[in-house]
Amino acid sequence: MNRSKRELILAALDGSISPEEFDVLQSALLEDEETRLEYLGLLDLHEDLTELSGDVVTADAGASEAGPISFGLTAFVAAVVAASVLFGLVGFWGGHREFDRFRIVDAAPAGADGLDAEPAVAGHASIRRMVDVVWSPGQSVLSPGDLVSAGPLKFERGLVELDFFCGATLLVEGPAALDVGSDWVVECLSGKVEAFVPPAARGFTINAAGSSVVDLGTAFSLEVAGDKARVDVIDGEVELRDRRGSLRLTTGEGDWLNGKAADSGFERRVLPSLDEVAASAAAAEDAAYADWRRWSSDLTADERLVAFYSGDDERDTDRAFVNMAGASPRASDGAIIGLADFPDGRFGAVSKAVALNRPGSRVRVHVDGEFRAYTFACWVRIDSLPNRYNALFMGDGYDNGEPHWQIHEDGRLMLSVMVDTSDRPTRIDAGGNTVVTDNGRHKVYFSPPVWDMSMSGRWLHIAATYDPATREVVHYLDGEAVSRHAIEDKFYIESLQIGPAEIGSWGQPFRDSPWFAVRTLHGAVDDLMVFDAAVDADEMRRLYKAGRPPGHLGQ
Amino acid sequence: MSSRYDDRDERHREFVALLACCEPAIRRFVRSLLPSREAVDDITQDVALECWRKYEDFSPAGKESRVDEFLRWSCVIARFKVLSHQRDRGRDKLVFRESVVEALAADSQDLVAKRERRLGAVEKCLESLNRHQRRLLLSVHRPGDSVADIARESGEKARELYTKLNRLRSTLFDCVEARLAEEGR
Repeated sequence: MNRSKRELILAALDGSISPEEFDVLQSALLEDEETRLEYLGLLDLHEDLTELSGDVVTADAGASEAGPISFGLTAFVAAVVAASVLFGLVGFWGGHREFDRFRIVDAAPAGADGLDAEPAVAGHASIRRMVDVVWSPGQSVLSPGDLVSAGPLKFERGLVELDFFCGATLLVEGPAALDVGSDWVVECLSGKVEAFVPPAARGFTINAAGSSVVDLGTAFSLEVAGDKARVDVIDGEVELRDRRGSLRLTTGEGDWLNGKAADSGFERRVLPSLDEVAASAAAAEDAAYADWRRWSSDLTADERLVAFYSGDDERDTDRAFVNMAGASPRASDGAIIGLADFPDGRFGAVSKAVALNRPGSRVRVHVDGEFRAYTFACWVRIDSLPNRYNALFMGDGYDNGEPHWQIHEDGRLMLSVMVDTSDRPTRIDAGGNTVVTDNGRHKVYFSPPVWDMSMSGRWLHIAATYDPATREVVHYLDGEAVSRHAIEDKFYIESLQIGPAEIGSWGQPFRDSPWFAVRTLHGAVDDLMVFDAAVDADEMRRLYKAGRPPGHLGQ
Repeated sequence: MSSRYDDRDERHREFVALLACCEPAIRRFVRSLLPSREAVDDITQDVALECWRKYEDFSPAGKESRVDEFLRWSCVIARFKVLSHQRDRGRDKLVFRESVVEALAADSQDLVAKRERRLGAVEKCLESLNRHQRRLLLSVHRPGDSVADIARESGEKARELYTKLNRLRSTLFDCVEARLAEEGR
């Protein structure tokens, strides 16, 4: 049967083309430019769709169940790491994603013309301090020290102190929406700000309501709502440029921009100081944390809870990570190897999380027993997902019944349980050869993507349940189910076990290749729990609500 | 004393910055010369290392931007890497003839710059499909989904779904090409 040229190309891309047809295709490619362009176009489409589907290295069509073991790191990361090792220059280990994002600031060679095309990465201001801030949806989460680039800056509540590179400092109270223009200009779309302008920064300008406020020295406040805006000079002098022309105001004076006064809603008050706000936010966090400690300590009596690693046990040290479930001490207490960090947990300084930002650090645990179901739950702060697979909770050898709970680089949650290590699934490749596609029979249950770079640094509650009895796998985010998956007969296993395992990394991978070992989570894990039961949706919601820090809005 | 080290450090930083920019384009170029995705990672990694080994020789003439020059230069290296990979592999599997690789390389090189625009067009064209069409189209690319899964759920025959899938791919391809042609005007 003669297939059309296009069908031949598609078959070649799927790997389902016969050697004879492949020969026909090659001749056409050689002879005819139009065929080549069609081939290259369809190939680009094929690859684009793969990229859009979120997995660059998935095997060809038909092998969609291939699990995590069949992939390696991207060639790029491996090559850069190899180059770094070869030439004794480490420091790029952070992963190419972050690196991409910061390359202008971090690594642009002087005079490299082509790289100057991304001015947006260069900042105009930096965040000095902030308290109690809840960023608006769509706004990337920023922390003290982060650069603020040109463009919108929106948050729902809290106080942010911004240092502009011209020298001016802005204190902004949420809800507020700014649009940063340059080192010298910012537009205030809504919110209340106070500007402090040293002599060097004279001329710093805030635009609002179609007008400009130019600081001629020291301090003023500005409040904007819709097309109404009011400026008050705290100390010094400002120039108002609006529809009426140019107008100067000095200490103690104030005016409505364009002479349009608001009827209500404006209150002339001085913004609270950052210290005051910080103190009240910390008090709220402490109270919420105390509530959580009480709630979770009741939970430790629950027989279904087999492991609870919080980082807040009095017996925790920099070597031991205590399992707070049931009676201690016990074998399931974790051992901390290498230089793990203990950053602030989601309640701030009062509680601790654990972070494994160095490839050599590990939190090793040993959870004995045979289980009927699994629930894994934790609070996690993801800074980035530089590895293809980023570990949450990993059974060492991935033997039968052992779990792997991870996050894919594209932000999808993954849960898999090994069903049969002796099985070697195969497929037939383009050349008609049998290829082993996987190391044992298992299935990875993927949620839709729940994380992207804009959520970097934000605390999330994630969980997954695995229930052979109801044959269901469920992924949760902030107490709500994000996806449900049926367990097929082929992937059914009733006897579950954990044994030696790691939190936030994978210590004992299958293969000898060192690249496979790097699944270290870049971020922090707080209050990791394992239940010998599949917690239901109501209970999951309660678990999230009991543990959420003040101001956590969920997804 | 320290200047040699600093130079090398600076060279390395510069190189990694260029590689970070160009790696997706190099990878795609390599992919376009191979009949499957299988060896793309290995070859791209080889290309990256070879580029670093030869980086001393990279001297942009200055007409194009540095990134464009680097990309062109690395694609030449990539072409050789693909050819030598094909030779090493022998005749046991499907490989392109050398003449085909050379012909594809010439055309593929011209497309390198266009590829970024392509992705936007693909996204736009995907939006014009309905949910079921999109799922079928992406099922072969998405781990955890497959035509077989859809066949089981919908009761349709897998063979018919494959025919549908190919028709969708053709439609999408034509849409993307039309969109690019329109933008190019």
